[in-house]
Amino acid sequence: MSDSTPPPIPAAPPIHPVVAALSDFSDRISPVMVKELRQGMRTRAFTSIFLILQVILAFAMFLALVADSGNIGTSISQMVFLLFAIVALILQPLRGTTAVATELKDATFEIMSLTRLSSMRIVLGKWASLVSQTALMLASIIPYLVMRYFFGGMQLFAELALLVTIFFLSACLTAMTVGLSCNRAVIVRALVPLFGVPFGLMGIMSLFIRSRGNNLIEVFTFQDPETNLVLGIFLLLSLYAGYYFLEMGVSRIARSAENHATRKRLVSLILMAITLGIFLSSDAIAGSIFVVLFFTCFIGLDVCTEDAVGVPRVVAPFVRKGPIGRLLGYILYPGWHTGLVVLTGLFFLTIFVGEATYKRGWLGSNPGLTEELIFVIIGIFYTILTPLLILRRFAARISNPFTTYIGILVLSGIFTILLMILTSVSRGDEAILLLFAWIPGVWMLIADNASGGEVLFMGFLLAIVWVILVVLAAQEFRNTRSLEARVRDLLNNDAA
Amino acid sequence: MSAILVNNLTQKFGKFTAVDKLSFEVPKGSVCGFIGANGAGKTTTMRVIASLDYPTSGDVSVMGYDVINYPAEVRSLIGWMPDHFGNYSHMTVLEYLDFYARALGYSGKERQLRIQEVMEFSDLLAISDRFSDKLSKGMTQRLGLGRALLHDPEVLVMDEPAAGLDPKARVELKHLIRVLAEEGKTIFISSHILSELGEMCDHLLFVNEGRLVHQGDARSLLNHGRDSLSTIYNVQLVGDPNQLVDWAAVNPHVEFVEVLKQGARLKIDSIDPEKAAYVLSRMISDGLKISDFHLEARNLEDAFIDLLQDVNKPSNQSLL
Repeated sequence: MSDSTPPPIPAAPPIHPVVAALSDFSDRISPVMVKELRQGMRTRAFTSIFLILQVILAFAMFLALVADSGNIGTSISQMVFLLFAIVALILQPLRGTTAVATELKDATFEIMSLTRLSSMRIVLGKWASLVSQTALMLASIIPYLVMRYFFGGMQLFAELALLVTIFFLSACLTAMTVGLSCNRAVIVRALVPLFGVPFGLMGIMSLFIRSRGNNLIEVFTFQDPETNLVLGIFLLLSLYAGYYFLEMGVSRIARSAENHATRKRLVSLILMAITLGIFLSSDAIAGSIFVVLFFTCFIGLDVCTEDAVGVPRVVAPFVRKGPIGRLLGYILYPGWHTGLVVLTGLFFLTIFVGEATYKRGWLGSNPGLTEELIFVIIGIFYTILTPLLILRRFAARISNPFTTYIGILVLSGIFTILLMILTSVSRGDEAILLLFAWIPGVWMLIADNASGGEVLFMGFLLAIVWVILVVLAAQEFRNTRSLEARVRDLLNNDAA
Repeated sequence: MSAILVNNLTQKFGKFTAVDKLSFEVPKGSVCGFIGANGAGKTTTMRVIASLDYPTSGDVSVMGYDVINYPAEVRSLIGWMPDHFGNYSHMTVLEYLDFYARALGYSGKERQLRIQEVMEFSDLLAISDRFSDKLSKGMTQRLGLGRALLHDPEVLVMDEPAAGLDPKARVELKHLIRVLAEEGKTIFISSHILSELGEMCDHLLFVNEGRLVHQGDARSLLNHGRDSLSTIYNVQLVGDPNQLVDWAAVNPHVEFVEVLKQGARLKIDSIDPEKAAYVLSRMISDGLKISDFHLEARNLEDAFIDLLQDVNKPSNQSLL
């Protein structure tokens, strides 16, 4: 009977004390977040910001204690919010501008991508780590706010709501910078420090110093329904912008077999529908067209910088669903050619929403789109599509279309300045300007006084650009159709 | 089944063709060396195999999985060790491996055990608390190997792992690769140190300008282009080396190859040692003061250079 005795289970080898020390982070936390927190909290940037924040706040609190002023509580609030806003809305998002770029530069990203981590998990982990560090800083200022309570005059709920809003906006801004950091090109990553920091600082200063934060606190008492709606929409759009930049970053670094375009487009269109629904059902119905234009700009930047789908795995889920799936593919496949279809739809939606709602209630009796607004709509589409035409006609083989697209826009901005100098020298001949109306700065100059003739001329130029793009897109659609045929054969072979 | 199958792989960067219709296969469980000069297309090919780059055309599969359509499956089967990779600042060796173990799906005790195994194998326990960006080249390579082995891959793709290593670190790395080969892993390794690859590889692939120019084992390379009816002898003498040139010109079984500092290389039209002994005795009897006479051993580097010279001859574009 001794044969039936099961063999003893070999004991697991003892864990070396060095390895046994590895239990400080839970397995439930994202690996990238664990790594980033380990690294990030040891960096000079984090420790310096954290310590400086504490020192300044402690010093301010000390001054408040020794000062003899009736308004000291408000001043402390102002100081706490100002410092936290600078840290959360400027410094922490700035740290995101190198988050993924460093990994790309050091070739550590591709080693990471060979693991089970998807590009999305890598980017989300980076973002979550920075937001966690901001949360740590938020937690560290709570004791100062508790102390400030004893100085009196505190609107507890409003101030907490403001603090949470700053944190939320910080998370959105950090998402934007982390998303941009997926580009190797410095030109793209430098956009935030170059434009965001000065404007951000000016905004924060004006909110917390000039108005002493009072107007802002009033907003967070949530007394005015219209203000609440604006705040809600602002936060929703910030959330979308954060999501959009993260997704756009992810699709820049993702492997070819991953399809991020479909989800991005669907989320953008659904969020646009929700926001549009909110506007249409509110008193702010006249602003509906701006909702469509806002989303169009984001969607346009994204779809115009996507390369056409080339991998059977991406096409297969659509082909499996038959003709309806393939039809959906023509607006949801990755690539600028399907993006052009989406943008065409958005153009007609903009015109329809504008005609139906601008300056009146839903289908009211007042005239709809004004000539100026039509000019602006054409200008926006012109701005979106002309760099796409340049990109696809002259630089189709370029490996980084996003950077090139942004580069064209930046160059056009510089060109605007030169044109402005030229027109001021030639005593403002706007006919010259009209030729360069695809440049945002230029059409914005003309828009205020746009006449019917100028609108027609702009429309004509836009139509030319659109037609050329359709011709170029036709070739891409032919490639997509042959890819679909290849996938159909593969699927049929599998079935057989 | 082939562990790696490359069929008509072409990789272009703009107008430059880095890899040109390359085809080969690496049998499962073999150690295959991938040899070529800088810019021959080795790294480009390896990156496609590791599913890091998308090929211009051609098919590449690892253990039957196409690298384009099934990158996730390929990545779970491959351990990739690039020639150069940055390490993380503010992160110890132990934390580095912990991160990758988590990223590969290990958790709890299993993660600790796997890290321990890899650290013991790669001899990393002693440097576990060192920051990973402050390691020597040899330690960095050991850490890279440890990281590549964390998920116990069936195929190990190593791009120039011995580059920049000192002799001691090179011997250690060679030992580790030998142990992995004994465990039955398929190892695809590129290096410019041919003698080392010759010793440890079952199979060698030689590429030049993106094309495969020879494949086989070390012996096949050594014999490549070698005339089986003649042998080269290295002859040293006291006096003017041109005496040997003149002597070879009037002796029918000997052909002059090139002058050396104190002698010359001579080709004898036989592989029979008796014939060599006869030639030596004739030299001495003709008054040449021979100080050294030996059969020239050909090493892999010489053979490879000869091979490349053959390939570059206009009339000999394809040797396969």
